Amino acid sequence: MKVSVRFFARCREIVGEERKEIEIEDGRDMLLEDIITHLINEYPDLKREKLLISRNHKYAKPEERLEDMDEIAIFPPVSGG
Amino acid sequence: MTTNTMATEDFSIDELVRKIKKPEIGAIVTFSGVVRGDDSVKGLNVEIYGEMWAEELERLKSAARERFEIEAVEIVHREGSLNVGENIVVILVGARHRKEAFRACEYLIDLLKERAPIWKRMSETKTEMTT
Repeated sequence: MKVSVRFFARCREIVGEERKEIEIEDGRDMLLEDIITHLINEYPDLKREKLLISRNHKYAKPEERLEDMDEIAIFPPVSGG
Repeated sequence: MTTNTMATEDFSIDELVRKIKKPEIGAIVTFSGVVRGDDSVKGLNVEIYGEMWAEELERLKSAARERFEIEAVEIVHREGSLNVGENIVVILVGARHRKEAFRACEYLIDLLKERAPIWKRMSETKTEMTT
């Protein structure tokens, strides 16, 4: 299974990249929170941020199940308008 | 460039007003958010998650249409570097009567601030704004 993770605003600065492609060998039972935990382990500064998550362009909950080719995005609270 | 939802340069509100006018509309309410300057703020940088914004915008418009009797909605948000005095966002709502247009416009800006995947940052201080 392969998912794409995009980062915006402060999260992009912490990770140092706009996008990461993540390959998961057996991803049948992977949840969104598993990806978040993996990223927080890799980039501990993310833990200090309040993180919002989207999956395929919709706000998502951590307990949602990942599917092949999902586009996940991680970002801080929004401030448009 | 101005698409339906995003603009990389300052844009004309008049043009948007002309775009939504139609015979059944008797009231058009416009909200514009503008870059406010002070001693420490020389401008803003705006970042948009474009693909999600396009979809979220449709969800906002649908929610407003379900709740209020309105005939037309246009919303444009700037991205990139903005100077003091430039439009950050413009919302236009057209309705048969003014009350619905006012109420829908306020509803839309409140919802946009809560949900739109957009981030503002002051040009000078590197501090993210959460207005």
